[in-house]
Amino acid sequence: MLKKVKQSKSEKILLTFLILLAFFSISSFFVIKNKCLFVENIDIKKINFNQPENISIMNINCGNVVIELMPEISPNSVKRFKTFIEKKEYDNVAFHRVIDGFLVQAGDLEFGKKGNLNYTYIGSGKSKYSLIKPEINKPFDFKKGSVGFAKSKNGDMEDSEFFILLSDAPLFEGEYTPLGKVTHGFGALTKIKSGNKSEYVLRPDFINSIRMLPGISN
Amino acid sequence: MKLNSLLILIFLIPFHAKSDQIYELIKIPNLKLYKTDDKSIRFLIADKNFSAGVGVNSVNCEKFEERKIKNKFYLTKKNIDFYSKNFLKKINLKFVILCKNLTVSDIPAIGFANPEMKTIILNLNSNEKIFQRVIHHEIFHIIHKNFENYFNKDIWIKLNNSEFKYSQCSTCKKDTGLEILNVTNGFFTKYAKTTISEDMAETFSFLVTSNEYIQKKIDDDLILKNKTIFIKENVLKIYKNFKFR
Repeated sequence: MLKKVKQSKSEKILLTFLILLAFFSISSFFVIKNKCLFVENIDIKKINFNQPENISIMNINCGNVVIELMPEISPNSVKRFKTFIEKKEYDNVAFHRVIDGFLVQAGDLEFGKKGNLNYTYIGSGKSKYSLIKPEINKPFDFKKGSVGFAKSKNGDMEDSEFFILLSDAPLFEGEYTPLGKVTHGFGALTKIKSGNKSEYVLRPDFINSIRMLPGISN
Repeated sequence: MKLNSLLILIFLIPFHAKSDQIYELIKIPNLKLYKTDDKSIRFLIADKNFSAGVGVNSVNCEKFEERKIKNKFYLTKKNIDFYSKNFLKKINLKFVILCKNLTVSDIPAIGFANPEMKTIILNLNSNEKIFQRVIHHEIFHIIHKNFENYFNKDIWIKLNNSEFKYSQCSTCKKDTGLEILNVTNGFFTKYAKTTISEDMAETFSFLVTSNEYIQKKIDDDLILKNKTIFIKENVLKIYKNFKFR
């Protein structure tokens, strides 16, 4: 006749530990898979904007990012940026250059479009418009969330590429044209796929769309 | 212990962010901001040894002991202060990198100018007198690159004796001394004989650091005199308020 063996206290602890470990392993698999899980969802209808004509909404994988444009600082550059938005040129364009904790860069309209990515030339593409001069004379504090036009590959001019800072960069003042700043949805930017240590991101994340707020409201 | 960790974090985090900024701006790694002056010049120092660029423009430089840098910094700043804020803005000079044992294409150098990145790099373990003059020499390279059409090479060549020929490059000659020549014969230094660009830069640097001895050299040498007139005239075309010493 078999004798019933009673679990010792340490065996009970071990069993509980193993059950918990299994539970956390399975749940973390789903948590890690969904990188946007802890990103706050921005509902733009609940936000009051003072100057809606200067508000653009960028939709990316982890939600909406609200960018307040500043035409009073860089009128020509903001006008150019708005033109691209209104013509939906930035839709499906890659974040081709992402430096963890520092900046995300997108806007190569020639070599950075979804379905037409060119890894050899990405970051050097041109738009169908002429280059514009930077507007760098007015003071602007390049803090975390600042949006600026990147420079074209051949010199000190600007075209369509822009960056958003993930950390402060005071030395950028006087070097890059400020376009505006992120007012809501910064968390979504931090989840954009980075290039690890390489200059460009392989299989990058994309901008789903950018729209001016009045366009969305209508 | 916790306080120590916090202090370490406070110091590490901003430096990490700054190094990213600097690399983004001038594409040279391992630099940190040392000082920003009232003329918007950013003085950078090597946080670690660095290498940048490839081929003839490959640059290597080493970290200079930070505790010894103060005097060298003031010496550099004193010479940079010779130029007005508006002039520096006009010629597009924004960064001055201070380091030691600078080499360009593996050849030891006292200075290096990178006009595209609005930067000059200075080798701090150099002879003080020559070091000061090299600052102005490198600044001229920035001027020259940004206003090339003002400094017509054909006119410059005609200022020399007809039989004189420059070398193929600034490092092609073995003897490229930077000391002022006893017999100038149209050139301030042996290095000035290497290329047109170096000759112009040497002429400019002597003009800016001019003293009675140099002025006498200029007065006694017609070629040098014409070269200095050429440089003066064209620098004044770029910036009419520029004042030579």
